[in-house]
Amino acid sequence: MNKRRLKSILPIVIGSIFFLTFPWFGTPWLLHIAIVIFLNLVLIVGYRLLYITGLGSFCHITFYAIGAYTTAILITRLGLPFGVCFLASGIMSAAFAFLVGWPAMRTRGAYFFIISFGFFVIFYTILMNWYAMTGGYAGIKDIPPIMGITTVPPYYYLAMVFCAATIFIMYRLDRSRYGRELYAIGDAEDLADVIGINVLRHRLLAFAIGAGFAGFAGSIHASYYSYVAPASFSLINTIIIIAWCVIGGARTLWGPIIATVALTLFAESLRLSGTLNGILYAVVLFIFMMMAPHGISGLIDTLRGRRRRREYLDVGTK
Amino acid sequence: MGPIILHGILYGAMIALMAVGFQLIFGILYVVNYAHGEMLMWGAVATYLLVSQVHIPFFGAMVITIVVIGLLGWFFDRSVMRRFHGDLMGGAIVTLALLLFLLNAGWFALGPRTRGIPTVVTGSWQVLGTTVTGEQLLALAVSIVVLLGFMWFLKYVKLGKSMRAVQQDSEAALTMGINVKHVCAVTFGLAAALAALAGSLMASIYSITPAMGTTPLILAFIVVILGGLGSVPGAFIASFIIGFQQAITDAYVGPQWSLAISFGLAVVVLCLFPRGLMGRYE
Repeated sequence: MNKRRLKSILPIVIGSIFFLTFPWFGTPWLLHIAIVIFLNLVLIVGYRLLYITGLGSFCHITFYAIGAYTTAILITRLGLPFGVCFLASGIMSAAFAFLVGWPAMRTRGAYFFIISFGFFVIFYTILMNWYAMTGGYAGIKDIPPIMGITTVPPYYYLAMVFCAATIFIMYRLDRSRYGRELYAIGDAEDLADVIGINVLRHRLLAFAIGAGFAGFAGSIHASYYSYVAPASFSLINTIIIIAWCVIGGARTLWGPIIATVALTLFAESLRLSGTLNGILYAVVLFIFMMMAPHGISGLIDTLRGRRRRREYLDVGTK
Repeated sequence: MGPIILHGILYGAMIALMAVGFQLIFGILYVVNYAHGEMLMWGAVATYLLVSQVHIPFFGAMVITIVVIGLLGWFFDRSVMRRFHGDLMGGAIVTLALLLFLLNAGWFALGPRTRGIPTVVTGSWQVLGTTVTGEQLLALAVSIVVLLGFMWFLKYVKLGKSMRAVQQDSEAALTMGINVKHVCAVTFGLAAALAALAGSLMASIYSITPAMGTTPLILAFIVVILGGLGSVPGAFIASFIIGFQQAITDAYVGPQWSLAISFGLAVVVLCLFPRGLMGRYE
């Protein structure tokens, strides 16, 4: 093994040793934050997949909610094992993504924003009002834990393995032909269409893949917290996902990851009230949109002088 | 039948005040304004605060609220929004940040309790077997007059004409000597003022909470989908369709499901007419 290879593997080895042994020296609170961050990372890398095609959905948290509620309802009503519920959650979320995305993506641009946001609000009202199924405002309590485990470390390992697998899949997807074609759509949609990329199908697939992973994450959320309630899937949560993606800069995979980890740690360590948290995110989002519209990854690329100068077609206000 | 007609027209007029401004912002700035509902909420909250804390009579409070929120909208466009004209994704994210800010500022100012304004207009009348209160009549009259006045403004006044010109072709408008950036800022200010007016009127009828902006925003979205993005007459007609649909589902299905049914209607229309009922083809 030569020196260069060692240099590239060493951080990964150290990192995995750190994360694998974390439960031995981390406090329960730190473990909890780590689980929250792992689930958030799954959300953000899934969300980014559609975002790189130049289309942001405003209902990503809804797919997380669909996953969580699917698991909660299947476990408490039918008593199915967690593995089955886990798979069902992801499939359910992806199916909803197809259902919403199909009419919304047949049209261009603004309609998709409006429909995805509308879907978020409608689903939220359903969660709040369909008492028989979702338990309304109070949600569903007493979801049995996986195989009766009530300690935190197993959930830590579950979330960690799932998060690592998701990031690895997204990393491979990013470098695959499909991923490159998604970037092409984001750079020049009409051009991509002309060279034979099926824009609608690619976007729909990206939307469904992101939604599926959000559903899996929601399933872990449900069994980790042992209850689900609409408050975890409200407006601020869906805006925060978009904020992570914008602040991180969606052009690279690690940009949103850095933003998610940093902002989650920041918000959790300050322990602000929901109101102040919302104002904090709004202000940070404003600052980034005004000063650095390409986010953290754009900033670092500029500092390194490596930024690809993208040609923008500037046509006034249209 | 009476309540349905009354509430249909009332909802329709309120939604139209929202949707016309939303539609103008989309048509002229090419930005989906997510903060439109929160502008309405702040219209109601500011009116409430002026009436209850400063003890200004309702009509004075209403005028102050509309002017101040309109000016703030104008200022927001000049300072922040102008960078995002024509940038659909960027504009959506900035207005979403504004939504987050205004919503949480609303919770900060008002707290979770539901508030109300004391009676503004006394008296009630029996029309078509239903009771029409003074406030409802006031809201109806003011909103209809303002909407008609706004249509007149768009059609005959020079500024309104230049707004339509920018909407049709901003570059051609620029070459004709129209100050496009100025027109955009005025549009944003006017749309904010219209939303604030709707908020003020709603404050006199319904209860005031920081969460009151979300439903009108979604209704404005649905109206815009139905009427076609960018078409002001389409928005006008669709507002009253949705208003009556809301009144009917409120009466026969239950108010908590009205929004979901409206949204279902919008999705069906979008599948049949992808550009809405009166939308332009690009």
